[in-house]
Amino acid sequence: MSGARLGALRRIGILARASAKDLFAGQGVALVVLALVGVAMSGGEVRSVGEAERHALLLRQRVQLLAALAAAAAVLAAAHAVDEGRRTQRFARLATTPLTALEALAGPLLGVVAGVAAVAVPAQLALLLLPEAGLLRRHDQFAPCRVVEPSRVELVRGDGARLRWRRGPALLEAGTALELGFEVEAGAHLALEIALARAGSAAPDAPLRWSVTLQGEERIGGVGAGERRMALPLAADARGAVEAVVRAFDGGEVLRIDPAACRLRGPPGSIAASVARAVAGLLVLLLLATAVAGGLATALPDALACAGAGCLLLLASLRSLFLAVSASLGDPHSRAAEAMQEVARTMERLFRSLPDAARLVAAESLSLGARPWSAEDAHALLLALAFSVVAWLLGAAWLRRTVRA
Amino acid sequence: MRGRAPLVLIAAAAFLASWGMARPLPRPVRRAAPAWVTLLGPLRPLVADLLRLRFEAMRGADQVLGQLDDAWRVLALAPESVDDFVHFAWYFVFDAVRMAGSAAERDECVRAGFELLKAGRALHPRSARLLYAEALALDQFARHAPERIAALALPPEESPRGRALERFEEALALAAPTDEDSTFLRLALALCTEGILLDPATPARLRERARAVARRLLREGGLTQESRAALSSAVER
Repeated sequence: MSGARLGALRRIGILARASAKDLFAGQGVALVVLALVGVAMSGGEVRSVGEAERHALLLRQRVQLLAALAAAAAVLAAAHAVDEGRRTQRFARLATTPLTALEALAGPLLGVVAGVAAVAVPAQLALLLLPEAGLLRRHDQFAPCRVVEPSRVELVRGDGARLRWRRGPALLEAGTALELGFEVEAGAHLALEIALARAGSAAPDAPLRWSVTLQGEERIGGVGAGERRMALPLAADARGAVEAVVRAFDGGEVLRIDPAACRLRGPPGSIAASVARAVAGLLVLLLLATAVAGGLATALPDALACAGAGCLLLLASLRSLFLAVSASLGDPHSRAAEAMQEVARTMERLFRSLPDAARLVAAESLSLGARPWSAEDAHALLLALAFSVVAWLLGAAWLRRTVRA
Repeated sequence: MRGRAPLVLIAAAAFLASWGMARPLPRPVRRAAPAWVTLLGPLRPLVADLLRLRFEAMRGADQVLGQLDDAWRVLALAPESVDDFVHFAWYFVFDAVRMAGSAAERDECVRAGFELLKAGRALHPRSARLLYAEALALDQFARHAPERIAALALPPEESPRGRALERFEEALALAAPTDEDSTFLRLALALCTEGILLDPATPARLRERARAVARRLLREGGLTQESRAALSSAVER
C-alpha cells in the first residue's frame, strides 16, 4: 500500500477515534429514551401455538429490536456529528489541512459506526446466544441444517393414473401411493422426515395398512392411520435420484400427508456461520444508517437528516413485506382491483431498488434455522454497501462545495 | 439546543395534530390497550395495516411462524372491527389446523381461535356476528370434526351442540331483523336444531330445548320452504 494511502487511512483513523470517543456526548438522553421506547414497543407477551414457535418469535423479536435501536442510535449520532462539524466550522478548518472532503466525512462516520458497534455487537451476541430462546440453548432448533425439498411429488391411483401434486395435503385411500423424488449430493447424511395422520375423525372398523419405502427398501409399515412423525435415515452412500413411496394397501381409513412437510434433512450444523452472518448484517446496517444520515446532514439540519434517514431505513425494512404482498397480488385468483395491482407493481419497482434492511438483520433466517449465507443475503449486503458508498460520496461532494464557498 | 427548539415545537405540534388522523380507540378498548399501543399514537392504524399485510402475505405462502402473535397485535392496534376478530379466529379454527405439525399444535390453534372470539365478545358485547361465528364453528366441529372439540375443554354437563344452540339463540336475539346476517343466522340455527333433533344420542334436556327453538323458528318465519319442511319433520319425529 502506498504511503499516500496509508497517510489518508491514518488521518481517517484519527478523526474516527475522536468521533467514537465523543459519540454519546449530547446523545445520552436521546439514546436512553430510544431504549425505553424500544423495550415498551417490544410488547411483552408473545402468542404462539407451540414452544418452538415461541422461541423462534422471541429470538426474532430480540434481534429486530436491537437492530432497530442500533440503527436509530447510528442515525442520531452521525447526523449530530456532521451537523456539529458544519456549525463549528470544523470542516472549514480541516479544508486548510491536507485532508480531503472524503476523508473529513469518512472519519466521523466510521467513528460513529465503531462507537455504536462497540456497544451493539456485544449486546447482539449476548441476546443471540445466551437467553432461554437463544442459539446456544436451542441449538437443535436454530442451527442450520441441510434440507432437500422433493423435486417431484406424484399421487399414483389404483388404476395407475398419476396426478402431480401442487398444493395442500395429499389423501391416500386403499390402493393409492404417494411418490416423492429427491436429488441428493454425495455424503450428505440425510434422513427422510415425514408426517402421517388420519383424515377425518371417526376410526373405521377396518384400519388402513400402509408402508413407507425408501430407496427401494420397505423401511416401516403399520396398521391404522394414527398420527405419526418419522425420520428415516438414508444410506450413507446415497447420491443422485432418491425415491420415497408411501403406500396405502387396504382398509377403510384415509391417510393424510402434507407433501410440503416431507423433506430430507441433515444433522444440525454449527451456529458459527449464523452468528457471523448476523454480526456482518448488523455492521452493514450501521454503515448504511450512518452514511445516509451523515450524507444528508452535510446539506440539511440534523433533525431533517435524521428524519430522512429514518424514512429510508423504514422503507428498506419493509422491502421484503411489500415484495411478498406484490407477489400475492400477481395471483390470478386475487380479488385486488386493476388499479391496486398497478400501484403494487409501481411500489415493487421502487422497493426493488432499495437495500433490504430486514434481510440484513437476518432475524427471519435465524429464527427459522435457515442456512445463513444465500445469494439473496449477498445481494442485500452488497446493495447496502453500494448505497452507503454513494451516500458518502454525495455527502463529500456537497461538503467540498460548501466548504469552498 | 436553543436553535433546535422551534423544530422540536413544530414536531410536537405535528404529532399532536396527527392524532386527529387516527380514529380514537373505543372507550372500553382504550382502558384495555397495552402501553405500546398507546405509545404508537397516530401511527397505530398504519402499524396495524402493516402487520395485517404481513399476516396475509404469510398466509398466502402457507407459513405459520408468528401468525397468532400478529393476529393479536393487529386486534390490539385496531380492535374496532368485529369482522377482524371473526376473520382471524376462523383462520386459526379452520385453516391453521391444516398446517399444524402435531395434535397438540392443532388443539392450540383451535383454542386460540375460540380465545380470539371470546376477546372479541368482551370488547363488542352487542355483536351478533361474533356469537354467530362461534356457534357456526362449534356446530361444524360437532358434525365433522368432533376430535377438535376436546381442545375447548367444555364442562362435562355442556355439549358442543348445546353451546352452539345457546350462541345461535343469543346471536338471533341481538341481530336486527334488517341485518343481512339475520337470514343466514336463521338458516344455520335451523340446521343446528335439526341436527340435534335427528341425533339419537342427544340428551333429553337438549332435545326439548331444541324442539322449543325449532317451534319458535317455524312460528316466526324467515326460513326457506325446504328448511321449513326439514325442520317440521325433525320436530315431529
